[in-house]
Amino acid sequence: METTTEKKQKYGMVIDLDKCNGCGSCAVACAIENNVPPALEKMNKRNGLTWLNISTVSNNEQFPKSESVFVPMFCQQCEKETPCMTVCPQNAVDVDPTTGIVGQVPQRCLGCRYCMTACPYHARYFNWWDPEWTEGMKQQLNPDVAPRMRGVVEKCNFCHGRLHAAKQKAASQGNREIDPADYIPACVESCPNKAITFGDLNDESTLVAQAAKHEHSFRFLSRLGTEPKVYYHSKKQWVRAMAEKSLTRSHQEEFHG
Amino acid sequence: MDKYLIPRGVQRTSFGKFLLWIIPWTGLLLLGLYAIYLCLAEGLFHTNMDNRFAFGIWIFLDLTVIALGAGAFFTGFLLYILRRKELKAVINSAVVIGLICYSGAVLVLMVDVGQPLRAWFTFWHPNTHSMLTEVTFCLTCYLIVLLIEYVPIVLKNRQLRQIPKFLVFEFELHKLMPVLAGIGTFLSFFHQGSLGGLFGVLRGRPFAFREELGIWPSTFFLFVISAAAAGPSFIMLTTWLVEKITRKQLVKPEVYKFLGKVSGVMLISYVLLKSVDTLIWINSTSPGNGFPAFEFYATQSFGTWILFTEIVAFGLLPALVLLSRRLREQRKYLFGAGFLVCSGIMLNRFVMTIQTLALPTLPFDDFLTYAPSWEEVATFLFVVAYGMILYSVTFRYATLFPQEKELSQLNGELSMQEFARSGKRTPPWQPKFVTQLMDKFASTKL
Amino acid sequence: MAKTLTRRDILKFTGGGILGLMFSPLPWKLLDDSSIWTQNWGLTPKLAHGPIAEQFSHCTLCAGGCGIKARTVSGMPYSITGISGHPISYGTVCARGLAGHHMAYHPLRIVHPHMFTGKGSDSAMTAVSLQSALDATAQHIRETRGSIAILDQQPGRAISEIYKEFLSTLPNGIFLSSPSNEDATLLAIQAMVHQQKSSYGFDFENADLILSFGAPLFDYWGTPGRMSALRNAGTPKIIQVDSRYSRTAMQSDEWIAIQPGTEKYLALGVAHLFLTEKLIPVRNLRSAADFAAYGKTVNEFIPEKVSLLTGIDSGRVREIARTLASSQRPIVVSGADPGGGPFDGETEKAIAALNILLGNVGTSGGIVSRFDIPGYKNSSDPIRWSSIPDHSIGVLIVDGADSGYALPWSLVQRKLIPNEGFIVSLAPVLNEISAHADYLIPSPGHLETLQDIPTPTGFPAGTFALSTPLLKKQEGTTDSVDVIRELSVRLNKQLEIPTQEALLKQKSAALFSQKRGSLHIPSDNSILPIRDLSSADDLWTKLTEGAVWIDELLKQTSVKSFTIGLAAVEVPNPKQGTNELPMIAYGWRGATSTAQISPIMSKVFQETELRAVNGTVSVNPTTALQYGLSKEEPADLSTINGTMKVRVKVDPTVRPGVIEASIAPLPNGIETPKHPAGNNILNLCEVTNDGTWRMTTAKFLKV
Repeated sequence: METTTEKKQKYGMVIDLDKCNGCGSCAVACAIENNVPPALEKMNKRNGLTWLNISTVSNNEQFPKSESVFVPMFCQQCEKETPCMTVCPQNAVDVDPTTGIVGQVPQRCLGCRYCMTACPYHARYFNWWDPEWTEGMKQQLNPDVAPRMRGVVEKCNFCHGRLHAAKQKAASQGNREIDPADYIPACVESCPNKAITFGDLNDESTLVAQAAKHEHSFRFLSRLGTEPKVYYHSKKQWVRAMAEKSLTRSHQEEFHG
Repeated sequence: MDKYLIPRGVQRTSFGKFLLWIIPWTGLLLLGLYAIYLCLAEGLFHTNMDNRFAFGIWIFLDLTVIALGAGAFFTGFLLYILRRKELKAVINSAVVIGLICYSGAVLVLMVDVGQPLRAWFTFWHPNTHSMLTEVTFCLTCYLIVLLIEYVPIVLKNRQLRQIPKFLVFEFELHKLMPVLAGIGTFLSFFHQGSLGGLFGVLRGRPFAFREELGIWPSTFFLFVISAAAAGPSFIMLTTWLVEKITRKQLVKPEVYKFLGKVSGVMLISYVLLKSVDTLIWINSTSPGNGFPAFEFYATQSFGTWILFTEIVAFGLLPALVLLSRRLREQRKYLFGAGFLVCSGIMLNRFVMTIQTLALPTLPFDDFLTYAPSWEEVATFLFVVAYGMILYSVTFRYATLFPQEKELSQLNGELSMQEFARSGKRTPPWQPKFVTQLMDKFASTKL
Repeated sequence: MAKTLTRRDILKFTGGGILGLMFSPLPWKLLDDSSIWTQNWGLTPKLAHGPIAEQFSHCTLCAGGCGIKARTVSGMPYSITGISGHPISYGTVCARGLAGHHMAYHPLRIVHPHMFTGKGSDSAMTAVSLQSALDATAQHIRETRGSIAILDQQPGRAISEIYKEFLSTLPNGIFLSSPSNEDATLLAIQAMVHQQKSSYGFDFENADLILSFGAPLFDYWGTPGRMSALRNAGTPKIIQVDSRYSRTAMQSDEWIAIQPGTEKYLALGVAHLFLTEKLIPVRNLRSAADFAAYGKTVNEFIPEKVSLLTGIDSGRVREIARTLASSQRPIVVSGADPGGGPFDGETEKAIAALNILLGNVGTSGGIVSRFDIPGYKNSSDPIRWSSIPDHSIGVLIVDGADSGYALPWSLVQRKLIPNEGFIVSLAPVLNEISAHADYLIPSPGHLETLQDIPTPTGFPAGTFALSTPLLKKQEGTTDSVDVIRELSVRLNKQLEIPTQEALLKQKSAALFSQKRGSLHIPSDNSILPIRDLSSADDLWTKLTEGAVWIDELLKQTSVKSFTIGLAAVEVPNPKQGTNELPMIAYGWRGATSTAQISPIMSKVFQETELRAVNGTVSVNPTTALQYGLSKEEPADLSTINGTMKVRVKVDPTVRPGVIEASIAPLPNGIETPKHPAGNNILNLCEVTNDGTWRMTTAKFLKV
């Protein structure tokens, strides 16, 4: 339960796709921060646990005009009629009104995977296996984040453990508001090119609020009306156009590039 | 050996032959049980579902059997509320089939979820916005209703009814039948609808998303009506199957024709509404979400033929056949149409689950395919086996078809006359005691 | 009056009992318990409790020298990030370094000396005592008729000097490092310079244009954080000449798609234009003692010929030359590909020579000399593997450090005396090379022991730091310096070899005595000049707390005399059979299968295929169509070294008619750790006499 605070925050991100070079540091930092287990032998890209999933998207031109861009995709923290929250039969998805963060309650999750069918961003992942770490790696788990057993769904929650730690620190110092420098999600922290900007979209003075309004910033599937709080940015016209392009590829495109 | 359990006036095979019939189903049951054990004890990685196909063959078949098992509620509604007495002939069988379908679906669901021990959380922390909460509540209640409706069938067994308390209980219960039927109809309406609503509310899946009437998307109503169309057809087909397996006539032909007509009426209304809904979806809903509808059909394997098949070949065509009195007279058209109806409903459920998930949503998604693993198929075969066993046992020891007794006597005489007229050497099949009786009479001078 | 118990009674009792139970708390309590059981599942690990602290250190997983900040719980690191304000790494740690603390507990971690019986994937490991392993090694050193080599893949550390010292006492000792060098251009120039050699770096920060020949500058080269900062700053401009649409090509200002294997012709063509169009001052050319021979070599590479060979339009070639020449502070760089390995010697010389022509050696914004701690080389003079005779090495000791660059086993194997070559690996984690070893004497793993961090590749100023251990050293592991000491004792060499700590303290003291440069203090992001330190111990303490020493940029003196040493360059006739395609190997530094990575990096490989997994080849859609390939089915890829089943990725960014082969780690196997000597596409690559394996002729076999 949140006690009332004066202002409501709306945490969001802007990801500069021109800066992202697909190094994967964000994905690794995310997995380490959130105690996501490493892959077992039988896992592949369809059944792994990748809260932060980076796709490579090309402009479908022919060599050498072909270009690629890397698109990190994770929970877009939908604001309007959050699809996963409305469909969970047992309220295991908790949208915090004071921060706007869409949280997941793995201890309540039934594992019905209805939320996974509801999410158009494929941002939710199911534990098809029990997690496994070597004995030593188990001692190196983040003490702030509970590991999950098999049979439950998990997803990015903007490093909720770090928000919690920032709140505790603020409280211990007698402050009502957290210091923004204390709450930085792992992906934001680890990106070498500083491609991810994070902060309170409600606060006009923040970089993230200004970047989100930039003419070259866009969101995926904006016409679905989910009002995601994760924006993307690119100077390249084809990248912005790609995001607006509706789904499906023809057989030609699918099998022959 | 178990003659004392078999209802009077009807014939059943020998106990030995019955066991021979049951054993293979038991084998299948055990195989399914092993698959279920693997999934529950080791994890759902035994299935071929993945993060893109979070729902697979289990959900698809669950939806299908629930739609097909709708015969239970619809027959009950027609019989007890609308007083169509013809259906008395099949109501018991419908209830058993309904019970099998629903209990099987719930069983498969318990294997499908990652944490079956937390199934009760839906009742403790229900989400009033979620269609799945509605489905859970309704299905659970309806399963209880079906169990209660099943009880009198069992209690009417000739040994059990000798216990006065059971007889009284059964009698009182029978008085409640209309109430139960009413409740069942009400619950079924909602859960059949909610199952459709499950997909219709998915804003994130423009292929499945539909506009709302009130709080319910159009798929809610389409699912109810299609279930009401499928149910009678399925009753028709299963009764026919039982007749074939047991080699008996169990219902009068009018019953079949009535079921076919009901199915046809519901189906034509469904086809009409579905066509309207599809047109609205193509022209307004889908493009409004940024997805021109025909692009969904541009990907391989799922072309527009699937839409055409669902609405016309498996919808309009059998509806017209079933509505034609002349065509209903001919068994091959009647049952053929019934089969098409059930196939159409199955196809519809497939489209709403598997096709919905296969289609990309993000612009850079791949179109992915899915095929079930042996554990998934075995789990479902478990339900089939369990259904066969339960039905067989109930059929053997209880009266599922009230008209059977009358028809068997009729057929016994008719077939004897025919045999006498035809001069054939081998008599048509008849129970042993009849042969003995006939021999006795033949050798007795009157 | 006794009443007989009937079935009915039992039934009634049971029914009533069940009903009654519903009104008791038992079923509801069990239900509630079930939800608790599902949260405290036996397999779910219990998280550590204890005080949370921050500790600073440096990463040793490659020569990048990144500063790391570890968050610890009860002293155990659980999260690694960068140090903001760090003058080398700018607050960045690469994906491998982020998971560096996992390496101590990698599924293939070795924590005790072992002996191998048998070879390859059928070999069996037996634990042996340290003494017996050392005895066996010493014996082989004594008795071998071949040379004794130590492979040190991170030369420039204090231990490297020990290795060199030890080898100098042996009749034929060879100091080897990785055949691939990130600083290939710098080493080439070092070899060309006449005067006193100091180590060189790239002054990218003050340059305005970089022409890179395939160096993965923006994909884990040198120190990633430094390169990212440059990228974000927007200068210098980068022109990437690359046969692949690599990540660097993607991020560069201009990508020049070059026909694979023809980089040297472009370099020579640019030089040709420099000379014929007088784009550079004559004195630059004359600074090369052999300028006449060089001029003759480049003479034939007219733009049209270059265009034919490289596939680059001749107008573009001219443009490159002009842009380069008209820049104020241009730098030309080449480097190995982590998976594809180095260029051949000619190519490297041709590219390095452009810097000489541009006159940027010893100038600000160009190739700058930097400070070396006296007595310690910042980088070695590596021997080119091609100069080592085949079948000549009798004993090979492989140090535990990893360069991050692939090392094909066949290249190592051909240098060893067949059936006699004896390998000892000091690696802490079983990898592709150590899987072929005879003995394993594991050194402590990353963050388990004190290490020194010399100046990273290409850095323009001298630096020094320590990797302070954050984890407990595991019993059974032995510091490499102790191994060398034990061997020298057994071989009766009179060497004074200190312990690891003493060794590093010596180096630190040598640094302190120079009284120059300053320390960056991580805890408060402050700068402390060395002059303000009271003693060598003070410096040592600060270094162990995670500080990094950095020198100022040296005042440069333009270097004016070289010998280029590039004789006539032949243009071979391409001889490719039908259906044969050039296969380019490529990889990602640190993840090329020669070394291990944390299992968590499956997020980048197996679970997303962000980086192509091991055994994946990429082809252009037209090539796929031509050869009937699709991503749905594996294909049989065949080279001179064998055949292998590979997965095919259809990628429009790949040049038509070319196969790109991903050199990547084998898939994760926590539950069944894979023996690393499994089939790896690197084994299909053809290693030339030049010690390169970047291009191999391959074909797809039709079923």
